[in-house]
Amino acid sequence: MCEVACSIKKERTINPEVSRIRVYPFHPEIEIPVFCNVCDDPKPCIAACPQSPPVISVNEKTMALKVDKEKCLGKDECGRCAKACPAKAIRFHPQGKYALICDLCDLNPACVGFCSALSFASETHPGQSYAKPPELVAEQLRKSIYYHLKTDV
Amino acid sequence: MVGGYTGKILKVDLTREKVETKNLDMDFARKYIGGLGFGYRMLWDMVKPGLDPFLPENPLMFLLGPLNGIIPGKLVVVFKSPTTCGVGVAFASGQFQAELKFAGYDGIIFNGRADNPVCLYIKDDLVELRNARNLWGKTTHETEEALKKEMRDPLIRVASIGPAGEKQVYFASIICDKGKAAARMGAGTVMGSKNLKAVAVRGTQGVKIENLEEFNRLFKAAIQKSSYNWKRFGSTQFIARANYWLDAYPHKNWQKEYDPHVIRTCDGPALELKHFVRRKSCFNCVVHCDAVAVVRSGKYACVTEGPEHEHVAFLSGDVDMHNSDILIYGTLRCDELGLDVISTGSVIAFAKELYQRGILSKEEAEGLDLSWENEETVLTLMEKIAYREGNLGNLLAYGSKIASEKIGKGAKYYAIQCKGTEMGGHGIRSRLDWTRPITFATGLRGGNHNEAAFPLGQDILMTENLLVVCIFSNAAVRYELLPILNAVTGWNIPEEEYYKIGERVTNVGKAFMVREGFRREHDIIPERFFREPLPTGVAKGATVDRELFEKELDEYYEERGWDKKTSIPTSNKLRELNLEDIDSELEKYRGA
Repeated sequence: MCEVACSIKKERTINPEVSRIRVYPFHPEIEIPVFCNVCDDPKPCIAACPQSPPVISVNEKTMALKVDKEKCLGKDECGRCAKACPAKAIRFHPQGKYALICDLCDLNPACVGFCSALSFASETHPGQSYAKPPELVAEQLRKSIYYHLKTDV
Repeated sequence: MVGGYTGKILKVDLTREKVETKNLDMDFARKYIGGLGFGYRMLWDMVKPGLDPFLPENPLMFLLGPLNGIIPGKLVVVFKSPTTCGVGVAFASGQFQAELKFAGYDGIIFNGRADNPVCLYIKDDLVELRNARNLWGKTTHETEEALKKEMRDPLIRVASIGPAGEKQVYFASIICDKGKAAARMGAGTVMGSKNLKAVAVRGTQGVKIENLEEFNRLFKAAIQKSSYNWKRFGSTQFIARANYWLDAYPHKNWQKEYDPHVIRTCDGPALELKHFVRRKSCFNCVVHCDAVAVVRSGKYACVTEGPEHEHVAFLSGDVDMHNSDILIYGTLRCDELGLDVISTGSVIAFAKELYQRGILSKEEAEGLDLSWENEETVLTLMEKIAYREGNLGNLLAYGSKIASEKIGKGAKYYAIQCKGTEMGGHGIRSRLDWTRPITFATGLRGGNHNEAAFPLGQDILMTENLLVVCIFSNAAVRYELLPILNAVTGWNIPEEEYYKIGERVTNVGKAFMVREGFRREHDIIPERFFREPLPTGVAKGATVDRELFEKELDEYYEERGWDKKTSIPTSNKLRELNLEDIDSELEKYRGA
């Protein structure tokens, strides 16, 4: 749902692959929505960008990231931001050559409008300085949801 | 290309290990829309009359409609069924169908038989048959995990068969995304007979929509209508209703249709209290009718996709089992082994009743205590059937129709099946549920409960199978389907023509059944419902009246425009539906 809402708003098509939010399924029965968590400065993706000035910039008003579609080199030629991202949240457009990063839709996210589980905090929430990879989040969730299970499922 | 379609169909010849893409004829698409429409028509064109379903020539088709990948949809699998020897149809929801559409295909047609176990891997234009000898023998869950690891891609979606499909159990299923089953009528059996273990798909292409603004408006309005009960309990909300109010819930192999213990143990709210952790949804769905269920401790500790109405009806009610731990573990095992829950539960209940009546002796039961009180035999028998262990497991794996013929001794009376397929969990004696006697009798798929009791209703349901949308999520979207279809494809199909297409496809399916030898005498319901009145419940004493049943059947054929004596579609009807070629071929069956 969120992926479809995002791809309709951003790319005017239905294609989860170009969505800025992506849901990864993990065993057993855990699904993690992965998107840009907006790390504290210095942001790893901006530091990794070889262009100067970096094609990824920070929007002063929303504090979210923005990608310059024209100047980005894409996955085949560069792809360094995706490697640097601690949350593995950066992917690339399969046809066009640019990175896909959530820009919070100017504080009116399409994905939240469609989903009952996602909620949107208007201020960047404190306490989390760097994002985590989805495998780690899944592992933590697995422990917190199914902690009482004796067998290793 | 018209919006919603990708215009490509993948043809896989397993014997020669050759893969080719075929362009979709858009006139054909306009005439049959998609999904089951393509399926029935291609089955009619491809299958020779009287073909043995286990032969390599039997095609296995994974088909999609124009709305897959756009609104919550299903995968429809079409083949010639081993259980009925008529049309074989099975539906699976989940993410697999959407991923297949995003990979750029409107369907896959498998033909032939591979020498060694293979699996098909699709990533957009890259299609390859891979050796799957290391996967053979694994359960569906293990297969999916292994494939994800092998491809190093957590986002691939997998449809696979379990041990039941490999062992040619007659009611084996194809499991998509670990918990969604294309279960009925032996879809997994046909897939297993082709030595095809799994299909893994990853798509990145997206779908085109002609009129995005219009679609967005319609879809946003439609999803507001989804109901609270569906979101909270899914289809388990109907258990209490079917049991207490409608008297249409299977109990002890349909001896009763009321189960006094279910509300404390296996009803939706009871399961939610004890087992459900969170809700889960398929692609692009707001309803979240699926639950994630856990059994927290003990012998049956597990995490799985929660049971739905049919799971509860056949693993709890029909076999008289009231331990919710076993229910949830059984749900998991059915998915892992690749069994159809409805048929498995029915067959186990059938065996238990034979044991109760003394038709199945202790020796034949191979030391198993098959009395109703022994709850754990459900799981033991399930494993035996899936692996065809021992004489009993081997016998029951044929399904209740063939098994009852092999047993003899009047066992046929206790096999609750229509045309060879076990009945879904909606009773007909009380006449309070939506299912009526003629629903099961006239349904082309045998004991299929997702069918209406009158022609127009069947046509409307058929149109939903052409778009292959989910009937559950559809509770929200149902009335907007035609406008959504028009917005997506840019066609302007008026309502009458839309239902006409549904009728056309039903007639193609019926023509196929006629060619396979199905006549009016096959449109029958199990004898038990005529003879035994309901012993308990609100509709106590109700039975199916034989005269009324025949009269209803007459009326049904008349309204359909089918011959009353033989049930063969009349020439006028077929010509009205632009099916001249089918009409001329059916001519030789009319005189006989």
